Amino acid sequence: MKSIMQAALAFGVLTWSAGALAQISPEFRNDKIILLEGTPGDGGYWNTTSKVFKDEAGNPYRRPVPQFRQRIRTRMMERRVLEEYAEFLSPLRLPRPLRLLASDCDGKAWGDSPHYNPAMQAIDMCYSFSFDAEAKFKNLIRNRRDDKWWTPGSLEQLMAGLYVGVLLHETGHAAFDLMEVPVLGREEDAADQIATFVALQFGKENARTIIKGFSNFWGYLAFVSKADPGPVLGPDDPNYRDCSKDSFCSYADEHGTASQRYYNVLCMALNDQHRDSFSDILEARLLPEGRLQRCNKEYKQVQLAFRKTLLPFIDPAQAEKVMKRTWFTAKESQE
Amino acid sequence: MKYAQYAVTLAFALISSAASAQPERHLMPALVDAPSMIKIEYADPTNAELKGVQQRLKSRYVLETLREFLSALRLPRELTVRTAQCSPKANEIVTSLEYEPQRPVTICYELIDKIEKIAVAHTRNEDLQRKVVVGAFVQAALQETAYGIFDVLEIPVWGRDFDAADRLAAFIIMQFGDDVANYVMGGTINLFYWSDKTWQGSEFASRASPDPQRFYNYACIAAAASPWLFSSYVKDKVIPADRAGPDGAWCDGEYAQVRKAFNLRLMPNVDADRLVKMRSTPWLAWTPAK
Repeated sequence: MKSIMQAALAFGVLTWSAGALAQISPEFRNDKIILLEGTPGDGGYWNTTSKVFKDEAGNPYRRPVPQFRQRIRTRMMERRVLEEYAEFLSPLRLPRPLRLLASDCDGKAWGDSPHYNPAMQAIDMCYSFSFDAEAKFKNLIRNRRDDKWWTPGSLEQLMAGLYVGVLLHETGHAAFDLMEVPVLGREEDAADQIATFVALQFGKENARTIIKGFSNFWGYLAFVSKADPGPVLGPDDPNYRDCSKDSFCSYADEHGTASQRYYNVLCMALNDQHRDSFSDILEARLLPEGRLQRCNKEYKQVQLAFRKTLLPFIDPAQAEKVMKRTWFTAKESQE
Repeated sequence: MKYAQYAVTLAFALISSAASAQPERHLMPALVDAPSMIKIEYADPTNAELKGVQQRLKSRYVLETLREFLSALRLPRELTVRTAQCSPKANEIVTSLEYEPQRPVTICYELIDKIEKIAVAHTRNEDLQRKVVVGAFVQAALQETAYGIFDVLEIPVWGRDFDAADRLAAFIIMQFGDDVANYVMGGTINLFYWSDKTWQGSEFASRASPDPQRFYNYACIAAAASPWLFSSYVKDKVIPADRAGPDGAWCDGEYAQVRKAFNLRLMPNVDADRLVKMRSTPWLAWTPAK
């Protein structure tokens, strides 16, 4: 509890709590979904890190976004990513506010990850994550089009799909926290399940964009970046369980491995009801047969969990309006 | 929280049955005041090598104990728990059968056989061998039965069901009191720690989680549930700091999450009167009424 309070205070320093509701369409407004501004008028797109640093005199400050990442911020603003996502979430009947922001997070050159901050009940999208993901997808499209682990898509489609997949994943964490949903499995996998399950409820084009962007990101990490754990050593090896040399310790991560997340997302998409929308993935045999056979069961498990724990928090009339609206541009739906 | 201890009596009984080489004495009549919805079966293996495993389990009343314990759950329909040979062919070893809705829960003789062989291969210390075999057996029995409980009670499960069943098993094991938690959880964690299988490529598509991942899942819950027993996992960084959190706070969070799910989803289906009786039962000496 103490650490949560400290995190809340650190996050709250220099933060403007007033929301930027004026930028959200009245038809899709939800007073509990707030764009959290770092400075007045930034609309939730901070021009700094969200992490608070201290200068030599001990005064708190936030570091400005480096010039080379400014274009990510500008593009997000032009695309109205936060505003549209707030509108997308408008059917949620939240007991407490959920805040959305984009920032330079911890200011790392690489490795900052979008996250949900329970102390502030805020989802923070990191510019550096987008910057890094875009570089990966560009490399995938230009240099690895013939790789057998993916079915190609446009850069716009992959980036848009990843953005929404990540936002939905973080919203999953927020939902578990704000609605006090009991989670029996691992929360990170559960958040991925929410992201993919929700994606599948929005028609073929939207679902394909999100599933492809989300799964291909994990696929890239697994098959190109080789991010999965390496060899696990036996007791006769002199480096047995030495974490700097034995990959056993890599499994301590609360997230699944990149490959596990890739296969989990594909499996959810390949349930009986939605399989036809992903015939290219099915025909490319990206998911091994043994796992494919249980995808319908996995989907039904998530469907039951969603119906019992989250559906009561959704306004059906507003949800219908959200489901009828077109969310991706033509370019973002382009394969 | 207190109520959660009812669940561990199962594991307690399993431990006592499996650990004891001596014939058990009949000290306590079975609690038979309510018909159990749990049906049990020791299926006959065709593989002669597995007949010994079947006989050991049978003579130690493992399934009877499991049924007795689970009778505290108000199940709306029957659930069969069986031990069985799972490999259809002699050259194809299957240690786990996936639970199918409305079908029996299966604990494979091959799994028990495999655990025994791993223990013998990794240590000559017979006490440690016994601890690992008993701990891993109780863990496996609880994990397999969890699938059936999820199904029969229509419990909403977020996350992979394999991990959910594991986390429920880990939670139950830790409600037993220090001796049993130490023995069963210690044995379970040891088995996963010994795993030296390197996973690669499409193996990660498996419905099961790799043993090293399970090691950290169990260790994290153990450290949070009984820091006085397992705090060294955090202090000595057996669980890395970026998993355990400051002073194990993130493991505490994982444990609290499972406890909340247990209390909200399972406790409403427990017969409180029966629970009280069961908690006062000397399970170490328990055998079925003749």
